[in-house]
Amino acid sequence: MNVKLIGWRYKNIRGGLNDVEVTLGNPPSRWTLIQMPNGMGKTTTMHLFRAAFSGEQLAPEDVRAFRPSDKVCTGEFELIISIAEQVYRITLQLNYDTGTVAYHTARAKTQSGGKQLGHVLPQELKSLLTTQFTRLFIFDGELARQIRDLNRENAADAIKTLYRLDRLSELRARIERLVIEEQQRSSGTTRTQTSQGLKALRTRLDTAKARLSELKKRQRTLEATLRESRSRVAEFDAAIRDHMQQDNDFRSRVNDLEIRRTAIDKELVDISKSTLSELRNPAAIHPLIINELSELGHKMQRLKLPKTMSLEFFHELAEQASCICGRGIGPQEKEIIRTNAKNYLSEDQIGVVNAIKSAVRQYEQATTSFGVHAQELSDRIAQRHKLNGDWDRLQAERVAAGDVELERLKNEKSELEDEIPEIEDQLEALTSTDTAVQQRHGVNEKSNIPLCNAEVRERQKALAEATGTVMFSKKATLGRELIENIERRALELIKERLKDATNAKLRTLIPTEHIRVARISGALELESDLLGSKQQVSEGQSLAIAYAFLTSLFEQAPYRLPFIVDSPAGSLDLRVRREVSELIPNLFDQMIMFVISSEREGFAEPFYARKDVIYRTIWRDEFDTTKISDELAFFQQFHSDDNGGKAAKAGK
Amino acid sequence: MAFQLPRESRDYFKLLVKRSDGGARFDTLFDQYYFCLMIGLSKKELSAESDVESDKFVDGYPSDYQSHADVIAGLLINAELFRKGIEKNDRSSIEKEMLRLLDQNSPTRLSEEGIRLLNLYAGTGFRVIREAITPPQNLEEFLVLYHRLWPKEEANSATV
Repeated sequence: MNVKLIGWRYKNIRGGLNDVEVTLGNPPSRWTLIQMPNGMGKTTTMHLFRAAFSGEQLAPEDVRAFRPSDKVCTGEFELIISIAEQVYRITLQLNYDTGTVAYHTARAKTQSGGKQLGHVLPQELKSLLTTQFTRLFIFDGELARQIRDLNRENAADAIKTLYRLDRLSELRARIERLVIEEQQRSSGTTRTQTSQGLKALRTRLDTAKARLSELKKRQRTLEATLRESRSRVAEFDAAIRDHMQQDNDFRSRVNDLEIRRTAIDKELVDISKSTLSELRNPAAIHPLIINELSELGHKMQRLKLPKTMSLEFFHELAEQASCICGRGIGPQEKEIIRTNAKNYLSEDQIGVVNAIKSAVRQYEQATTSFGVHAQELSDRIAQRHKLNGDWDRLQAERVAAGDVELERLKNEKSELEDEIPEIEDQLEALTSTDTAVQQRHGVNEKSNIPLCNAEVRERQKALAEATGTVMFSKKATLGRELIENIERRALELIKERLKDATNAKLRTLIPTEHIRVARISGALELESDLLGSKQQVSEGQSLAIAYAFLTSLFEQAPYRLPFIVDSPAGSLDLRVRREVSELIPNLFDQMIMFVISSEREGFAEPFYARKDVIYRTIWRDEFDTTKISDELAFFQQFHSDDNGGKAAKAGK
Repeated sequence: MAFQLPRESRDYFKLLVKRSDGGARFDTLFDQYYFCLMIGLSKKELSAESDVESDKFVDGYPSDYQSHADVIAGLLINAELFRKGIEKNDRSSIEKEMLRLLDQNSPTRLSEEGIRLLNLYAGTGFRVIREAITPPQNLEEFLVLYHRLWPKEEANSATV
């Protein structure tokens, strides 16, 4: 489904947007660069776009925030889009006195043709365009920060919504509802249970479900706290490093230690990963294994295993009237041949044994380097211990010399580090499936999610039995599990594909540090060659990561949506601006980019060679009149001192 | 029948699976199972059924292990021939063992009985590892200590 933004119109909206209409054509140009000085209403426009696309109910204070002055009581914003080439006009009528918004939708070529009350879009699109989701294609720097924020579920939620995996969750919920309906219907006819008994069973199930929901909520809270604490420890580490580097006497020693520690950590990660990867081949673990494989191979060779005669051969023989030697095969012989045939491998099994034989014989000349790698790791672990000791001594020297700030940072970090095992412990008690761990924590179905899950299943079964819907419930459970599996595997596959596509783009955008997405769990977990797990990224890197992820997310999605972005190059350095400017335009069928004059350099320049681009400048002149220009030359030379848009001027 | 972890091994290896400081870690639960299994197969002793978890943790080999399915099957056959004291020239018994342990239709190459035994060997391996190594804090230290569980390489004939 293809959605295009054709234009929009403001009436009595704050900023320089009192009575302005912006049209992009139908079909619109593929790329639109809109230059507006700060204060003209870029942020306001982004808010209005999100509301108009999602149809969200705005809070009264949000509505009043659009009010241009106390003199006006109402305002209006109209969004004009095409959906599968049909034009829709969505109007927000803003009542500033009551703080309310009313939506109206008008469709061209409909029988009624006129406006109707409400936000009326095709159902398929309506369910996609949630408030949260619109933020992904009507995009600003705030989202870039959230996408890499490990406390949020934005990345995973976006995948589920865009690739319609949320439909599977809906299907599961529907099956759940059907079971309840069936049980209610059936309990009306059952004679074996009193209605009170059934009610008690249902209450018990509801109690267990509510408890499970509470426990899961607690799990999410604890996980978020844990991520936050870990992130704060990393921030303290960075603050301690920065603080130590402020002292001229210590700077070179700190830097030297940092460089060496980073190098050792990287080597440890590299060697551990490559060793683990090698050891997944059993023959790489030890020569003993190679010897055993080799002996097995020789044994099979010597004994001519597997035998060439197969089970099938004897079954065929048993069907014959006589043997190859001429003797007849009667019923008694047939039975003996068939019975003894079971001692022979089938042709398929012979194939397997031959494959094993061939595999084990491959290793006769193999060698293992585990010993070498273990020594390399051992050496580096010792070096890391020594460097950590040096680092601790360096800090102790500073503290002894009266560095109160360092002492404070160290203490706070230490307190935080003490909290982490406690949170991990609580999480373990809450989520462990290991009986020994459950016993150690003394948990039961009221305090452990897997046990509570088992309790819910148990009570579901009891209710099903009482209402005579056991088979129905069993089938429903099977259906739910099947859907869950599909959902989980589909999400994992999509995540993996997105991760690879994002990383391919990041190699171009951030070539120096090789920042990568290590995994998409809730949000994006990053790693880099230099630091392993990458906790801290700059604003520019953050924006580049968001672009790489979002473009990957949308490029294979079943919907084509316009990509609207505010300050697309704000915090990027000049080189990354050019890279982004080259990379992202080709990935969207329509892009609308709101820029200020200082962003043109690097970002807007690569567009000048493209066709199908609108260069629009919107500003207010010295008489407070809103002006619009579509001239490229004007766009290129426009300057603003960003004084609320009023002092904007063309620099001709 | 599918793969079952040695009981209590999740707790023992938890830091290697959940490591979050950016260092190397086990990618899957199968990694921890495999490291136990290799020691167990080398030791050629089965653990008790009660030493493994009752629920499966995975149905088949993860992608990193699929190409080694034949070799793991070979090591299982070898361990079982040794454990049962089958003479090296007893062709018929050896072939019977293969019949018992292999299943051409399984992606693991192993029959249900083969996988059940593999789980029990992993149970023994875990016992050996846990007796020798305190719960590992990180993968690099575990790999160094795991290497020490094997005989010195110039004395290949020694057993674990």
